[in-house]
Amino acid sequence: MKMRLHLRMALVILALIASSMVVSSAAAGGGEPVIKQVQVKAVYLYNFLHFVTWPDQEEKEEKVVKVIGVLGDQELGRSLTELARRLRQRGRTTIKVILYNSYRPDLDFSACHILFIGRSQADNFKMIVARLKGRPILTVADVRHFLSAGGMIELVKMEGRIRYQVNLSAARTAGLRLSSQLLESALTVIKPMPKED
Amino acid sequence: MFWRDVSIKHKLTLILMLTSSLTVLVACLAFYGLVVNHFQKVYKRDMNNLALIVGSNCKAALMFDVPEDAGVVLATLKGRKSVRQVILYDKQGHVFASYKASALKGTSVKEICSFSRKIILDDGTYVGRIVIEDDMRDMARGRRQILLILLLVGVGSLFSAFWLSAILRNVVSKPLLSLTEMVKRIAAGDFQFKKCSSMRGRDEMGVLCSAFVEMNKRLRDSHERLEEYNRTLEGRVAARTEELQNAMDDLRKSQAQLVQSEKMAALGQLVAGVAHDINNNISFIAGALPNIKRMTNELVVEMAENHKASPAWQMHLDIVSLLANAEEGVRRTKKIVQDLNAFSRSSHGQLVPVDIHAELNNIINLLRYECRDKAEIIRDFDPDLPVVYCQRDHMGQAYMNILLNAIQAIEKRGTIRLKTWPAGGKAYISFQDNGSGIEPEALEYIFDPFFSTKPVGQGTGLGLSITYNIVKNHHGKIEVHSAPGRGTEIVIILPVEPCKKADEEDGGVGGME
Ligand SMILES: Nc1ncnc2c1ncn2[C@@H]1O[C@H](COP(=O)(O)OP(=O)(O)O)[C@@H](O)[C@H]1O
Ligand SMILES: [Mg+2]
Repeated sequence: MKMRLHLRMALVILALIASSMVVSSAAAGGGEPVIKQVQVKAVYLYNFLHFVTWPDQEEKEEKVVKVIGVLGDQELGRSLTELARRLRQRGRTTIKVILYNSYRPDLDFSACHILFIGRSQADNFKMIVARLKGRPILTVADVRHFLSAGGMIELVKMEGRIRYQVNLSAARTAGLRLSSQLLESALTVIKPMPKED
Repeated sequence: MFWRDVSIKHKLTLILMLTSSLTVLVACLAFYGLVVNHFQKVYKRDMNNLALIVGSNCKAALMFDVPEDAGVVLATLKGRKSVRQVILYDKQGHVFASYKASALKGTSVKEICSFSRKIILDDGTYVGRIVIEDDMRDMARGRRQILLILLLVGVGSLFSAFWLSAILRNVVSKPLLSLTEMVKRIAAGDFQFKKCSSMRGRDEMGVLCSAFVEMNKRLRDSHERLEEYNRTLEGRVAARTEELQNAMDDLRKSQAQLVQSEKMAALGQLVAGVAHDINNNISFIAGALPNIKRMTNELVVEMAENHKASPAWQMHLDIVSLLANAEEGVRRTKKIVQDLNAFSRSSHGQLVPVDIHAELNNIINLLRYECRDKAEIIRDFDPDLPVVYCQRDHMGQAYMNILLNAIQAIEKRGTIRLKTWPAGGKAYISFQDNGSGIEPEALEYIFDPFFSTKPVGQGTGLGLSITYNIVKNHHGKIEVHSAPGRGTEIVIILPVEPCKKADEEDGGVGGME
């Protein structure tokens, strides 16, 4: 039930943010009142926090500030920052957003719980994923073949909606526990090899 | 105690209690069965649904092999207190996740009911199985509660049945009781009550009661009539007895009169014979006596000249007085014989119209020497007195006898009142003196022959009996009113018209006082 509660809560927040954004965009200078894809992505990222359990995380430490890293996607970074500000205003679980412009080998992502890799980094994501393999950082991207490269969640645009695919085996290898509900809602799930039978 | 001896009151109560308790028992059992059955069904459906829901919530966890999520889902059953244990098996049959309720104390295996359900995906693949073990104690408790409620309902309905039977008892048994009481009282002979306590209504009891009251009324009426009859019976019997007594007395009286007249007739014949003989013999003496007297006188004249001083002279004097005595004896004997003849004389004789006043004057004239300085005769004759048909010399003798008695009853001086009057076709002739009167004891014998209170030589006792016979022969009556020391009144009542009939019913002796 707890999961559902979270899901519902997330949806509520989604609606909340969306409406606020509509208002803000309308105030900003007209334009059609359409929720932008980037905003939806931001909410997705925020929601993933609730369906993933990190190895060092204990159940009761929900209030711990989660860190979302955004690599090479300025727009998404701004949306997330805005979301974080609103959440803080409402006294919700706060998140921290770290923006990375582009990949550099010296960048250490160990502070991040989630790392989003933007399209601008399409050339680098394989290397990044390889570098982060086995480390408890949920890697998310909206580039093709991300999963096959060893990424964990790939956002896919389908029929005008944003869906996702999950590489469960990569997540398990990294010591992350993904909620079955998250998995259930996924388009596809790459499962690890079944245990010995 | 037999069923028939039980009072209706108790019968009613018993039957009511029995039927109601039976009904309640059956209803309770049926209800209990239904409810328990229903509860069990609902319970099973519930549990199956629960297993289904929980199982499908665990689908994803099983699919993606996330036992933690399954554990979280199973743990949600914590809210259901009766669930003891939930085990989730994966498709290989290994325990995938489980949940165990913390408080497991006092739960025996028997009370645990387990529900198992396969978990199958939409595409039909079998991913696992869920087993929920539920504590049936709640069920049992629920059953017990229902039983308790049913018990309460049963007891309550029994009480209400008892109460109803009490009411019924009042409705049926009470009037019955009062009826019984009434009937008992009737049976004991008490008809004095008029109301039945429960006769107000128009139901069967009311009708019965009023019928009983009506019956009782009739019974009472007839009873009272009977009692009234009984009360008056004695009086009526007494009256009837008196009537009978009177009739008897009359009978005895008339019998006595019959005997009297028979006696008289026989006596009459006897007396006639005796009188005839005495008359014959007396006529010898009477014939001889004048001669003896004459011869004695001649003898004395002869002796007077020769033997005046001889003792025979003295004897001659004695003879003269003796002769006088003999003469007197003959005279009296003749008188008696005359009386006897009159007494025995048969009733034949001519009926002639007689003026009674003239007849009475005649007799007073005959008796004027007898009553010379003793009795004053007062005549109080009614000139309207008609001529009466009778045997003239017989009636004259009757008047004579009565008048002589009246004169003899007067000792020194007195009055004799003769009174006549007509009334109702009859002639009344009354002789009233203020002489000695008649003693009551003597009153009933004065008409008997030879009854006399007078010294021998003075009374023969035939006077009134002769008079009685004469009046009877005239179909008349004699009444006597007398009081000792005050006087006597004798009334002769004669029919004016000559009576043809030989015997008349009122020819007897009149009322004697
Ligand atoms: N007028 C009378 N007063 C009183 N006694 C009477 C009278 N007439 C009759 N008696 C009574 O009745 C009796 C019967 O009367 P009666 O037959 O004439 O017989 P007698 O005169 O010879 O005695 C009388 O002895 C007398 O006692
Ligand atoms: Mg006389």
